[in-house]
Amino acid sequence: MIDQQQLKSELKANFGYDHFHAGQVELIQALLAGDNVIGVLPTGSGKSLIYQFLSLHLPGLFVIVTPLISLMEDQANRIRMSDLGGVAVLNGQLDFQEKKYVLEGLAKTKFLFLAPETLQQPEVIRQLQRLSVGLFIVDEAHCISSWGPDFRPDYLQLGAIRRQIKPLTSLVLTATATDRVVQDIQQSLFGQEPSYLYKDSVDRRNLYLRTEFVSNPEEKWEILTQLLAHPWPTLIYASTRKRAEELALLIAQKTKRRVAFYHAGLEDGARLHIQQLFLHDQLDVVVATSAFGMGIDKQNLRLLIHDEMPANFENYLQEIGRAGRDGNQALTLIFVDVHDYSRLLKRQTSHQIRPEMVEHFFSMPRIQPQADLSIEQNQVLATYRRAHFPQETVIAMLKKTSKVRDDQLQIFWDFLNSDQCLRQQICRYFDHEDAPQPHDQLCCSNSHQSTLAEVLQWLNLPAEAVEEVANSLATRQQAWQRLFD
Amino acid sequence: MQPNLLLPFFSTDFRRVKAIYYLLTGKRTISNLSAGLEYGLLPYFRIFPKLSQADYFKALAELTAQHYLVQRTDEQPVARLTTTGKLAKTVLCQQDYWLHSVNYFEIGDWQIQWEKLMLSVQVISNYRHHITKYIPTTNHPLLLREIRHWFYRVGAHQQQEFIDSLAESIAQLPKLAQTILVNSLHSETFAGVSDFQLAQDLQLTGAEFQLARIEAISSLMTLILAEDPARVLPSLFQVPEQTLSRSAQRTYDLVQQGKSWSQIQQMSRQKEGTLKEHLLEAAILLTDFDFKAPLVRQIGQEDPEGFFAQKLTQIKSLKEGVSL
Repeated sequence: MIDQQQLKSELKANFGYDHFHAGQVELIQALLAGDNVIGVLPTGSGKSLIYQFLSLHLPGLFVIVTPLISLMEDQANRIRMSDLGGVAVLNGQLDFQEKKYVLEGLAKTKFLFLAPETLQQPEVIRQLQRLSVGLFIVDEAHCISSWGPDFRPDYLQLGAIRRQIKPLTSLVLTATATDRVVQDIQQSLFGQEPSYLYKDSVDRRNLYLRTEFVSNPEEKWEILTQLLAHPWPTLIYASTRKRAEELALLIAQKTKRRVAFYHAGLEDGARLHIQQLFLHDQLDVVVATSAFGMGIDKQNLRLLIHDEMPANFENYLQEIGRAGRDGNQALTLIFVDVHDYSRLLKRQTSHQIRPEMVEHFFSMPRIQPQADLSIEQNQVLATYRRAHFPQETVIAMLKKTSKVRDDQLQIFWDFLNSDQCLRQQICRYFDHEDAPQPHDQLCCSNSHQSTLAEVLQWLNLPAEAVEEVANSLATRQQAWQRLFD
Repeated sequence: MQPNLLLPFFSTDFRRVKAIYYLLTGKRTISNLSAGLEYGLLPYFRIFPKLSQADYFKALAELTAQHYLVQRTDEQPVARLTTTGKLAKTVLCQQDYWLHSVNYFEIGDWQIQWEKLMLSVQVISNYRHHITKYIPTTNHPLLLREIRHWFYRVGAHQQQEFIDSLAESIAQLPKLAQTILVNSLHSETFAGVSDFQLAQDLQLTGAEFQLARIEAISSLMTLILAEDPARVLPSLFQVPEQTLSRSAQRTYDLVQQGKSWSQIQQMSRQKEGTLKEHLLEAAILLTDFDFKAPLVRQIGQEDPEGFFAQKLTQIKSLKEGVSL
């Protein structure tokens, strides 16, 4: 076994870091010893560094399953910036020719990122069987569990596919998994095979947690403008694309902050450009849907706002995890309106797939999109049908998922309305134990307990050096000078 | 979709609303292409590839409610402009963001050309500043390969020509197009601004900005592709000579080689109906389609009342500007 000291010097030499984050070295050593491993590590703990590090040790192709296209592109781009080997991405956005090109070039590839539904395609499996797969990585593995709110039926096939492509070893990663979800991950991916589990506390001490109760949109806007008066890099999560666009427009019109909206409806190039501008502090505020999330590594995000409550602890934890990745203090704040719960419940109910929809979908001679279903609903049912699930099982599973989601919404709503320490509650939910450190002034609060002004005073968040832009639009001569001279 | 931006695709005569949707999103069928020819909308083929059918119909419903459009369902849904709608269309088409240069079949897919422009400028800018590690502006693997090959082919000596020619071409464009193109470019040394910021500064809505951007890249491509193809810019943005789909091109090539209909059927192993559709596609899209070619006439004469013969006559008349 390679000792910790040697791993540390490799870390310094190849990645420039002095220390591993908690869990990284344990997981790396277990994988080097040939174990299959499950890592439950908090957001911002450098999960992707684990497989990047291993690429210097393990032979063969690394197959990385990731649920979101934006996430796989972000991670692929980060590896492209290093010299760790060829990177390829396979997802539903590629046309036939592009997919063929990627598959034919796999022999020269070290990292292959793909979506779970792409991995199920026979030609992809055949190609992977021809190659030697060194490491099979399942990212955001909580999607495997029907006890988790982000359950993706495509993930259920990963265990069988893993057996077909026979990797040397497997790494399963998530930031949000209760014990029950971890059990599902183990069962679904490894069955009776043993695996090494490393589970760290989800707690991120540098994130201040705040709930801000508001009774109308005007009040919310007033607080938002107070916050936006500070020069902190800010991310605002909005619940819909429309709301993200509207809020960005309002901020652009009423404040001097450089703002953009970000959602999955934007073209890839536009999304990438916004990420780059934000990463390089040339945008102050991004108003985004959940499409801006996992994998985007802006270190100095000081303020993270939820314009509306997320639907559960898992999403909340993932999203606040974007803040304070440099380890410095950051403020995370959720606006809570008394109507939020019923609004969200109604939204969840309207997205629910009812038994008669399943019956109708399954009565078709072949898989074909149904006009009365949304794109997502069609995709979910198509996945079940492709995997030959009986209709009754699908109805039962969807009923269960829907119940889980409703319950989790209720639990999260109770959390938001409670006067207890927010951090303690999060740790009890995920870690099944108390937070590592007791509550103090830099921990959490709600607007009944303290004013926002007090909190800002306690936190004294560092202000970033904001690049002054005299005139935001460049002339052709100015642009050419900076581009080419 | 901002509803009023759809008005220019309609006229005071009834038009098939689905055919227009499929044209705008780029669904290549004979029915859609011939509607494009009939309505004069072929240049707009595939300008909104991501427009959802639900958004399109919602926008039409709004235009109808605002009395800009009248919709009717005959065999299929059709719509025409009201007098108010016609007036609004006229005003809209005079805006500087309206699409006057777009033409899918001459300057290619605007999205691909846009991505090529962004990536090539990024690559050359970063190269000149000795920056070798960066995130490319696109993730499309074939486009990345194409630009990589182009970059090596161009070599250091032609880079200056690229920079100067691009500046020259952009300087010839209207001010709005210049502003959009210049501020959308970006590399590690020049950040550009986001589309949202650009739209705000230009006081355009998101949808109007999108049109302005399509017009900007289209007008740039019109200029570039009129240049000598051997020069560095046209060599990058050249559009494949093939206007037709691959299979239609193959069928038309065989016709031009003088093969008989039975030989063509045997060689292509496709149904007769499919081959006839290939010829109709060629008749619609090729400016030099030979309506008098013996084989074309022979197929038409075999069943003068059939779909092929009727459609061919219609296409010929439309191309000659004869009203049926």
